[in-house]
Amino acid sequence: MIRFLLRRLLGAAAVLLALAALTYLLFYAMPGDPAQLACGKGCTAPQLAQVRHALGTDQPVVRQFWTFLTTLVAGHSFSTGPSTVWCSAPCLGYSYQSDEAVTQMLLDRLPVDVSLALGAAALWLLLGVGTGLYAALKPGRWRDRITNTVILTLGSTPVFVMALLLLMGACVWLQILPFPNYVPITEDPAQWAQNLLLPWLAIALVSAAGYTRLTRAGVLETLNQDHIRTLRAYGYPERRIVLRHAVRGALPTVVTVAAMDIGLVLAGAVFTETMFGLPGLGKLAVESASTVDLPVVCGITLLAGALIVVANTVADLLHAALDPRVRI
Amino acid sequence: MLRPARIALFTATAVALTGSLAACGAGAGSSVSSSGAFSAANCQGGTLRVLDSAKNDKGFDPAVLYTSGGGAIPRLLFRTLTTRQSVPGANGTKVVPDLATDTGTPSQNATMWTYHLKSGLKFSDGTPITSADVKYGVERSFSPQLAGGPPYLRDWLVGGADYQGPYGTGAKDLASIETPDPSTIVFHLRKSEGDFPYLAAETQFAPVPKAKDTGKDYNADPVSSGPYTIAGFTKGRELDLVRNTHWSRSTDQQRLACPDRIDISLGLSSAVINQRLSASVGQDADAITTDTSLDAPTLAKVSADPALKQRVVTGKFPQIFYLAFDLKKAPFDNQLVREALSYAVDRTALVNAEGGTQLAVPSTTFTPESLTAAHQDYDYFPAGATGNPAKAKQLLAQAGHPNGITVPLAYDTDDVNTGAPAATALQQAFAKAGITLQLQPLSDANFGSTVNTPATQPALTLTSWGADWPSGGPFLTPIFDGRQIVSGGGNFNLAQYDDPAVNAQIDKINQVTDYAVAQKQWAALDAQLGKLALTVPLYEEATSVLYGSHVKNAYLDQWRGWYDIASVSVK
Amino acid sequence: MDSQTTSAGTGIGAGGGAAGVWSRLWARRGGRAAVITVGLLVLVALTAPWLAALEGQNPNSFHDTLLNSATGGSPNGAFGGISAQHWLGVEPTTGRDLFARLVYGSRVSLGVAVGATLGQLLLGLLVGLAAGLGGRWADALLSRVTDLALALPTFFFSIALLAVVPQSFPRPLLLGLILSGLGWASIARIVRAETRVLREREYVAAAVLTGAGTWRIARREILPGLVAPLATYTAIVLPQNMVAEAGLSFLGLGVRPPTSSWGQMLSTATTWFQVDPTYVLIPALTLLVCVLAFAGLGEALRVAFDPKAAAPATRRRGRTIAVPPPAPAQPGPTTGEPAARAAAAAVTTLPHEKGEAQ
Repeated sequence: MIRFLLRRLLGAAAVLLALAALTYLLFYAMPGDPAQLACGKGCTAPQLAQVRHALGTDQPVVRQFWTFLTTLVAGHSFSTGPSTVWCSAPCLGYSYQSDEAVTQMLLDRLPVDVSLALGAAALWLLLGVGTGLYAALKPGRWRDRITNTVILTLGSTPVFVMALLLLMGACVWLQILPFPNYVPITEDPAQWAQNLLLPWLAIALVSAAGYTRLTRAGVLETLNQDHIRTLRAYGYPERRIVLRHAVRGALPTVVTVAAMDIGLVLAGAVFTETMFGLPGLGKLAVESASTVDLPVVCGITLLAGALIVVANTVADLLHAALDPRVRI
Repeated sequence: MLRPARIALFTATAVALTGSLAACGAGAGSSVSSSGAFSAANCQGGTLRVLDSAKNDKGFDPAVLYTSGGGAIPRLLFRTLTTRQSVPGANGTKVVPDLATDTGTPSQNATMWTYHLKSGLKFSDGTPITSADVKYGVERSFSPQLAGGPPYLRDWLVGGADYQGPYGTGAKDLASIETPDPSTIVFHLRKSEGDFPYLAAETQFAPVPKAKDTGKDYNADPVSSGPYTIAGFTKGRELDLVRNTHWSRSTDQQRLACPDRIDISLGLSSAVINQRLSASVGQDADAITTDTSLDAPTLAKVSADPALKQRVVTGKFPQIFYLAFDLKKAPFDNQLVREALSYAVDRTALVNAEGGTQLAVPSTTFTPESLTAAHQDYDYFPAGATGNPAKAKQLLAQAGHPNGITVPLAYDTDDVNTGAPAATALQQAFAKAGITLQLQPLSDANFGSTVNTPATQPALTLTSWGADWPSGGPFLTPIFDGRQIVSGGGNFNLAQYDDPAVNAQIDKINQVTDYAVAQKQWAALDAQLGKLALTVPLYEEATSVLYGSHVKNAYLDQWRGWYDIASVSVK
Repeated sequence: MDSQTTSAGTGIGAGGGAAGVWSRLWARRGGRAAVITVGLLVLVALTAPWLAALEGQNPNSFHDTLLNSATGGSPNGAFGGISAQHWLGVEPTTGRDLFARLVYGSRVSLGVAVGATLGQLLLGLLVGLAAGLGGRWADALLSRVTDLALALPTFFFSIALLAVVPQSFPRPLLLGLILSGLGWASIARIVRAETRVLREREYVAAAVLTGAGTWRIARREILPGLVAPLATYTAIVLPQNMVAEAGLSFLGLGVRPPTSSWGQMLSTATTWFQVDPTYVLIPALTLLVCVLAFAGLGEALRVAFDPKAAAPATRRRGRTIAVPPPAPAQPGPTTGEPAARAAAAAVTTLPHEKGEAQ
């Protein structure tokens, strides 16, 4: 277990380092001068040079990346003008554009994605596992066909189309909801839920299909196994067989895939955030990419990568815990 | 001289962010809100809500802000030497004293400007405001750490080009700003600038107490000299303003400061803002927006609803959208070719691409009609409403291009206004005249550094120009003054036009300190330059904005074409 | 699609010949519907200019007279200005014909999707085969590279790459290249895992014993065994790529004006959904139907290749995921479980989630 975690950690660190280097290089090569943007439209050439120096973008790229890494690991001091402040590790530096501490920017956005991921996951598990169970237990030609078609349709819908259709339906035609506008749960839980309802639905509806299939397959597989036949032969109630045993058969895969999917949404849901105006990591990523805001871009990539690694590790641990056949 | 700084927002869903501020009434001008009687004497109380799409994640540092006439929200926090007159209509383009007793005393051919501060002025912490605080505020705007403001001070002040601000060891003060006593401040300019009182309305002229300066961190909680002070500020989410108890109407004739509190929501999507303003339910009845105008689809919806139409105000910010030629590059070194393009333009298609006649008005002059004082009508190359391709073809043949020409057109993809819609409209119209446009989209991050550097500048650019204050000076000088050509970046004389006679004319007008006289001369200069087809003026924008049903005295001022929050009341 | 069915045809093994696969595909109503829809789509893309000419319009001409300039430039007439001249109405603020833009847009949407998929297949096959047949070191190295590629935030990197490459580079080609360059890793994983399994089979072992070269083994013995999983997987990836292109265009990063693609149309339409729903629904539903058709085709292909799994139940996962059963022959740590799971995730979690998250 500990060896597994250690190995995972080392592997993840290597991947993240490579990821950061790639990201830094790639975005560094992007056209557009962050100093020019920070300096504004009325910037003169000497002023631009000063701003470049203040941001550190006048350094060679390898050096800049090295500074980024050492800052991350050991912290760094930054000049505010009249004084200097110490940014302690893990320090991702300051945004070129807004001068905010990147670590803080990310922490500010994370609750949005956590809200989004957990709510959506709850919904898609409910929908997916529910329909999966239903489909497995009540088989029938037509019922199967209808379920299949619905699953295929929902599952094929691009999330931004789903978001658009939900917005049109709920906010324009039926007018049962106002246009969503994120409210933190700490401010007003009811408003939080109301405003996230459509984003949750958008993600859940397109994701649930996968879980329906997993659940149905898992349950059917278990139901065909010998020990279930034995239980049936002994006259155990079908209800109990299904809930106690068959569901358990589907559980490991469903939980594992869910953990990984949650990781993906946590790492930033660009379309959902853009369509519903949610101030999350995905939106920040797109915005900072367009302004060549390297510290923010790298910070997000690292955080997103780390979240996905953690989610995958959790998925593995869960899988091992739930499925006795799997060993770490 | 520049278009007001705007947030490079990357909302690709085209949720129309009002990119560059727009508005200011040419005739159509600002109309006063109709909701009940308003009395300045009895307007105080209540909480005004502001629904904005800007995130303000750079906060409010008077050195970094790039506003026109002090901006909307910043003007509630910062008083400046002068400011814009807070009245509806044409008088709103006048500059009036703010911290100072008058708009400035010029001497030595308008190269030296002297101001005296009013007595009894205090910061929000109770300390008195002195001329040294104003000087320090100007000085710190030169720091590379606080870049972003307008460029004029660097150009105008003696020694401004090399000064690097008051920070760091061995930093000196700027000798060309003198403070002989706590209430007097003198600026020494290296050339005549009759418009100096207008520049003195920018936030860079707001006082900053040196003891409280925290450099880059100052933007989160600046010391207020205006009627409000920051009670709470979460960048990107909300800003709450409460009264500054040390401010009083007795020293401030321009800000009515009616509401007791102003709660500003930041970073909302424009769909949310316009929906909440139209519904005007609950607290939203007390709401306005300082940056989200009606976009074409919303306008189509509002037009169909008479009740909503009553809560819409319109205005214009003097800003021209135009085609810029690089005269150093073929084929635009030939005036006939430039004239051909002027004839080929289809302004109706452009106006439609912008969202129709309520959002854009065609303009054949570089100085648009909304900059009324400096505007003179002309149309030397009449293209009519939809273009004159036949005349364009004839001119091209005359210029030696009987088979037409192929030219690149650069535009800013992130700018909802001068972006793809206008570029494609031009492409279609020009095709009829045998002019093939190869579209060259540039992201916002890339546009400025490419277009404003002569070495990388494309031959043809679709761009816009707005005045930082309502005068022909900042409108024409950066574009047509040959001495403003800068090779290292930040060049706005895209034509790279340098005529010593025109330069001398500009200098002569800059010495005029009588506003009306100067504007007449700027207008004449514009008409004279227009004959050379150095640019193709296309259209100017109009702004339509909604406000909540309880809101009173909501008008768009003619300086900026936007709400003057300092005048709005909810009581 | 043609290329896929034929390539599926040449490969035999699993399904009992091309004819067998095809007849099973055609026998099911869902399969037939999917094949017909996809065929129609390809036909529309190929004949776009003629279709537009039939309507009498082209995708780029402005029509000012069809717009009401006083109300935001919205189209005159009901349902976004649908008329005998403009079958699907016109675009607000420009008056461009929507039918012509839609059929021309299918060329980009389909072209990029097909191109990107072929690129992904090629890269994935090369890397996967090399890892599966190569030595320990080659395998370890390539597996690490694949890991890294899987960890890349695809969407984010596309944004940077689209900005880095000069504007003069043809945009649809660039989109195809970027999507294939960033999306080959899961195919490589499947190919590698599948190759490892096949390698242990007797006939392959026999071929090795006869001294056949690695390349020859790959071509003769391994590739045919890969046809079934790859064909099925292709039908899954293709709509993903279509959605990815639409997504990038939707964010304004795709094709350049005046070219149309479905994502581009959707992107300019979003703000109009309150006033001109027709304008929004046309590209949205078109995209939906096409993605659905491809997804249906994938489903039908899977069944056609593996008739025993007709009931979409138990065997499905075992089939597509290609998990080497609790294998003793698992060299590296990353091979067994995670690989299978990554593939499982690729199959079960649907296109947009991937696009969404990355």
